Amino acid sequence: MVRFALVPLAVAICYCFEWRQLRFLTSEANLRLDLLAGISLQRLSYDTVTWRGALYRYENACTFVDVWFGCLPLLWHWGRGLIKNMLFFSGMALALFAFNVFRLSLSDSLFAAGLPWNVAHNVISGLAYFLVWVWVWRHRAYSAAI
Amino acid sequence: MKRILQILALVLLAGAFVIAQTGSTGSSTSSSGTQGSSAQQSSPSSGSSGSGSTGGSSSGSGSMGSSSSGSGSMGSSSGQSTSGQDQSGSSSQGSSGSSMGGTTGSSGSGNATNGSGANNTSASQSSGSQQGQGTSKGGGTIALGVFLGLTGVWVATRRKRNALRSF
Repeated sequence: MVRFALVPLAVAICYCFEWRQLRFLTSEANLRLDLLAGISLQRLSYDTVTWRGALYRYENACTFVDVWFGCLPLLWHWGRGLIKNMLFFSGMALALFAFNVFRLSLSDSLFAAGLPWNVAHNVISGLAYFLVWVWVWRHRAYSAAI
Repeated sequence: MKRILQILALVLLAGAFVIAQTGSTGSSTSSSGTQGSSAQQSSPSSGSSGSGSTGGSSSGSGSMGSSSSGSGSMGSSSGQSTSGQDQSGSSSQGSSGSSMGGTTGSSGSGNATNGSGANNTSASQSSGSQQGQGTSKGGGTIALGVFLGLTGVWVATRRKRNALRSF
């Protein structure tokens, strides 16, 4: 219960920062993956791209950094050492980054195919959050079983 | 003792994040408009290809700019140059609007006619007037609703399954 109570705090701490480099990295990876899919976004700034006349801005939530921070209190294993925890969360950060870029590119592809933005992006985002949640829950159960 | 060390490590980690963020962001605000305008000011000097528009931050933008520069927006920018002041202004509009397709052309030309100093009629102004809104790539209330809905269904299913198991 304490862990769950700490999740909003961790996310709030995360939103205290701008994460500019991460937003640039995410947008760049998304931009390149979209290019492979035949969608050519054009960069305007480190966190802003344009496509078919519309501006798209990458915010903190677009990087999944809030998800990572929210997972910190849930998945921190006190029985593990500090190094192992750090390694685990580093690996998780990479996995989340890749998953997030895939999510963004999937959204872009669906949007390019003609789906409305709310369906192509926001519904997919909710689904992605849910998948992460299921993974977190199962991982917690798995860790508890061990 | 071990837990205290781990908590200290977390505090240190958070401190490192704070230092890293304050050091990197500085005093600049993250308004995309100013970023866009500076990007466009750099593009006329390099011609109409739009390759330099990202301010050196991206190497992939050049290919995209060139790939889409031949579309309708170039036509609109040339039409706009007749009413505008100089070619560099129209080329900046052309490069900024090049990837946006034909729909952006008309408002792009409108911006260039307004500004005699054409370079400052930037992408942020033109694209802002084209769309009227910037689209965030983050989720929103819909995403939250989908997440909560799916989680609710998931929890209900789990409870049902567990209840069945207890029998």
